Amino acid sequence: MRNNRSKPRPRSGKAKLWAGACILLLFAAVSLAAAQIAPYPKNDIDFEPWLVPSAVHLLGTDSYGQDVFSQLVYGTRTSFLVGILAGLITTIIGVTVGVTAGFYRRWVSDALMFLVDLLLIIPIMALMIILASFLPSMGLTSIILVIGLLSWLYMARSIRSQTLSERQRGYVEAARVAGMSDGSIMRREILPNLYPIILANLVSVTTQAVLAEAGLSFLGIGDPKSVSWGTILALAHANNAIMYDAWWWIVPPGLATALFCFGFILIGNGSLERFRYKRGASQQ
Amino acid sequence: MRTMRNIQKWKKTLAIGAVMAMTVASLAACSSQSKPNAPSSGSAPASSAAAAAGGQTVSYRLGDIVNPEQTNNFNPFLKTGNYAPLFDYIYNSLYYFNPVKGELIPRLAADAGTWSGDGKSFTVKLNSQAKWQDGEAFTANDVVYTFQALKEHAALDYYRLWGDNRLKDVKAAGDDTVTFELSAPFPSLPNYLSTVYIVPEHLFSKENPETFLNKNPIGTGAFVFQSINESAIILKANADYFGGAPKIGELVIQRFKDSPGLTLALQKGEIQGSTGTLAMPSLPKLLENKDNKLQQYPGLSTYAVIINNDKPGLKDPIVRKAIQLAIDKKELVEKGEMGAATIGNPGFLSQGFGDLVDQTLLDNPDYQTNIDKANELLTGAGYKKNGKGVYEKDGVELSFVYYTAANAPAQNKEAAMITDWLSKVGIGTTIKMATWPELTSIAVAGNYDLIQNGITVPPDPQAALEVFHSKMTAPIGQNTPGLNWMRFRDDQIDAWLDQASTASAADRAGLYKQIQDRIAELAPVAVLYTSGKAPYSETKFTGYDTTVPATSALSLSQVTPK
Amino acid sequence: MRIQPAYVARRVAFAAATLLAAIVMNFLLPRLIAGNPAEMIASQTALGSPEVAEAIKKQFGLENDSLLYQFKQYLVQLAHGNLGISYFNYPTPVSQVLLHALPWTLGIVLISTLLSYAAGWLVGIRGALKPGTWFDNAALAVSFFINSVPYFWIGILLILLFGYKLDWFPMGQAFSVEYDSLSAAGKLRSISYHAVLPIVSLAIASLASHILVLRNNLSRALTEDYMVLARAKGLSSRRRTFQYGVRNAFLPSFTGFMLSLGHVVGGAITMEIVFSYPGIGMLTYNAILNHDYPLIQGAFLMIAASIIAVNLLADLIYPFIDPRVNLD
Repeated sequence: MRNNRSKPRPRSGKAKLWAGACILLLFAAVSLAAAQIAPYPKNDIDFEPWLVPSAVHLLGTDSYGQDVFSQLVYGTRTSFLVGILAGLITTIIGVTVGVTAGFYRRWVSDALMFLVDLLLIIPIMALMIILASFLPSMGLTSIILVIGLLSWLYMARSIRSQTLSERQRGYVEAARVAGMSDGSIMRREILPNLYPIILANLVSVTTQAVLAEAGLSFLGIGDPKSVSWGTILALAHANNAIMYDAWWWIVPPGLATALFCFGFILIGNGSLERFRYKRGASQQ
Repeated sequence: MRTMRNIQKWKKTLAIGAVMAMTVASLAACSSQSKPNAPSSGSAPASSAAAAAGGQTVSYRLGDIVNPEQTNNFNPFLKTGNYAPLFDYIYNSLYYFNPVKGELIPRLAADAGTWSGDGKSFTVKLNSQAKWQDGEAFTANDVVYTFQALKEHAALDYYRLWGDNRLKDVKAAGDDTVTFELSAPFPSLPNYLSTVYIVPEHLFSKENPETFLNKNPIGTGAFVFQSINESAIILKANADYFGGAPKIGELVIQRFKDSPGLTLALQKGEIQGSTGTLAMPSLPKLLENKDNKLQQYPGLSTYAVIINNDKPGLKDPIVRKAIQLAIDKKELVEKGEMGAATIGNPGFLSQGFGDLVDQTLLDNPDYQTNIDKANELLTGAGYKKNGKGVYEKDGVELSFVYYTAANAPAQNKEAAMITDWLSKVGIGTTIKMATWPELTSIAVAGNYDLIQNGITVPPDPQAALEVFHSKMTAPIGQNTPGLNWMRFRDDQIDAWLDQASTASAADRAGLYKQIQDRIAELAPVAVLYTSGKAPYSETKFTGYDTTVPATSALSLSQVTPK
Repeated sequence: MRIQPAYVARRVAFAAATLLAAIVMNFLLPRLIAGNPAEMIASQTALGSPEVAEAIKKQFGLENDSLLYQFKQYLVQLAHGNLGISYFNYPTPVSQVLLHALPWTLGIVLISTLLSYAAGWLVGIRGALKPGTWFDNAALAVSFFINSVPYFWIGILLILLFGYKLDWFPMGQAFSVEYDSLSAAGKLRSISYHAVLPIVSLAIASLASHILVLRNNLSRALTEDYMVLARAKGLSSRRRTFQYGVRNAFLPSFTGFMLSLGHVVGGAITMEIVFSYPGIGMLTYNAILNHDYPLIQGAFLMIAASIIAVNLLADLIYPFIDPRVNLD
């Protein structure tokens, strides 16, 4: 390490933000226009099984004679929905619990954190399986709810600790002296200062939600009619795509998931870097 | 060799392995101590001696999904905690029900048995050459003990053989004859005798058969239990087997978690056969190797869309008929089961029951897939399509919840196909998934519209058709006493069934045909396919007996290495 | 450095309260699932005979539908160290079923956790100390990628490549079929050989987030004011980096590490399913599908207890690493 450099110059994060936004926009466009982009209808089984990729079937067909590319396009919609909605649910709960627990001292904080610690000792994947089979329907809605309602624990912890340190700052005391209610202080004063950490968390829970949906589908819990990247992979595994060397069935959904999550991670990291960069600039 | 060299390329991995090995060493030690399934020392001295001698043991490897909870006991009386197909290799029943031909083959019985004139007493002569694998003699007392145990422990008597109008007494006459006395004629008795494995009295009588784990099972079968671990169940040939010593030295049942893994092992040649499990989409690839074979037979499990006949809309036979007509069974079997299932008979009885099945129903034009006709039937009955394209009549919309099994991708795919066809005849569905236990409990309690599931019947045509008897059902909300989950009631069918239960063989055949025709007509259930199969490989072994399931004990005791 | 008794008392009380709550929650959770195992067993095997269903219910102590009654039974059994009898392994006690699966899970998950933290920290530290180098960039890119793919996909690809195509490693299971006739060394070899792919896949999957967390924390720590102060005081670069930077960056990772250790007992459901590995994860998964209440409860309780214990341990170690905690 060179001694003459005091601080590494923070990256501006701009490039990351752009790249991430482009990736997500691409996926958003695909999921909105799925019916126009996909060459064949959803769950159409009219073709020969196990066709290798060709001009007619860009990514070949699967064991049921479905066009893999079309399934992949429709799968984008499901994964996108689950990621966004479950991510939002998680974030709302996480922020509410985190800020409340961080703002209030004594029993409110203790009780909320006790609840968090208690839930943290449960194996989440197992709990998701239990809940998924408990909910009356295993459709997309319940998958979104199960994932959304169970993923906020770490987020609440991290928001709480950030809130704790924000609370120490002068502006909270000032607002209180000015007669603002607790609710307004939390909403108007503390929350805006938490944006970067909330955004970073939002990105990671969204990614986790997409992966959790894939995992649950892989374990056979999900809506069989709705197509997601996870169900495509689960089917490929269950039908031994390996044996047919059908890489076109196994690799694309995995890569799509990776690229999608990567887009979110880029945005998260980019905006954090941007925040630090700007703050660094203002402090100097 | 290749494997070894390649491993060495992976120095990094090996370094990881070394760290791990040290930890695993201690774990392995404690794991083997805590292993409840390990055979107690000295249980199989002969076999371990043979292994130690390093002799060339010919080992046949069979694959199946054997979950941990299925290795808890080896007690053939119990229906849970064990891997039931194992008993076929170790034990014998008086008769073996051959699902390939739908016939009974005498095993511990020496003959087909004799009925008394009044049909209330059945006498079985026993095979005098049979003996227990521990050297003890097999006698009529073992048979009597086995059936008395069912009487004393009602929870073990799954088919209620000691129920009203059935068994009254089971008596030994000398060492080699057993007489079954009945309260009323019960012509299906021999079929039911095939469901009871005979256990050794000298080992079981000291124990409570309801809780006995029988960790070292001793039977009369072709193979002797040797050991079990997380990867396999190992059996060795019974040199003294009364049917002739098997030509393979060892039968290894390799354990898998899922069918894809098992199928890959079959393709790689790691295993030579399976008792029925196979990832169906892999079948064409598997059969590219000409030595790989798939034996297919009808079997006793009928897959169907089970219809709740008590639900609004589904009460109407026209609607049930439309469901029946909408489903393209041929396409379903071809795409879903890769052609390796038997298209179901609309009269419900599996093709496995041979001559008793009404074959004409299969080609009857009234029961062929016909979307247009289904639509005509519904409009003809006064149904009108609403804005959603779903038929409606008197405020009842033909929209139903369709249950399918969770964690069963092939089943789910078939569900997607079927519901798609249903939408073409204006019948709306919402798919819901439930675990297998839930599916059953939902079906039993009647809280469903449609369920896609298998109905497994005992090896008896009467019992198979009694699925539709009104005494086997209950109102919605109450558990059905039998398999009539459809809540189907028809006085005519009840009457015919009651008549058949005590009728002569010839009369029965006629009645069964009538019953099947009426079932097909009233469509209480939409039959899909029946599925019995045994994949096997002739790469290393030959001489399979395909008049019985190719991987059953009867066949594997004949198989020879190439 | 001394630990304050008040601090210890508070942590122990907290652990006890959590354990108590876990026991109650544990009882209620599995009962939320629909479906009655006794009816299921009866209807699957006995033409749905109500007599058989009744007899089976009695065997499992479900004859009384009242939750309160069942809860009392549960507590009484628990007090005797009895986790009940597994429905599907009847009549084997739950504790025995769990103990049987535990070693496999511990072996794989513990080793892969240790490996991935060790490797993750090393890579993370190196990346943070030399930000912007090709090593740092490559590590970041790979970590981001791994963090974005489903674990089972990695597992399947590994099996596809090294198990099926190249035939270097087995495609699943914990040891070979011949296990019982092998010598002790042979057994060990068999187990290790079968453990390579599961361990590697788990390690790879969790490696990424450890790299990212440590790298982020360390690069932040290195820019903190006390680092500047330390340099001003003339401390050597190496000492600065490790005594101040790494130590501070290590703290959040340590919490994560202890939490991971606690979760080790729970196994890795997806890994165990992909590799057909006979551990706790697979056991739990099957128990849930089978509605084997006592087994689910037993597994959850064991996991909860181990996490609570490891957390308590972490709390007690923490003051030695970070003296500020004690004063809280």
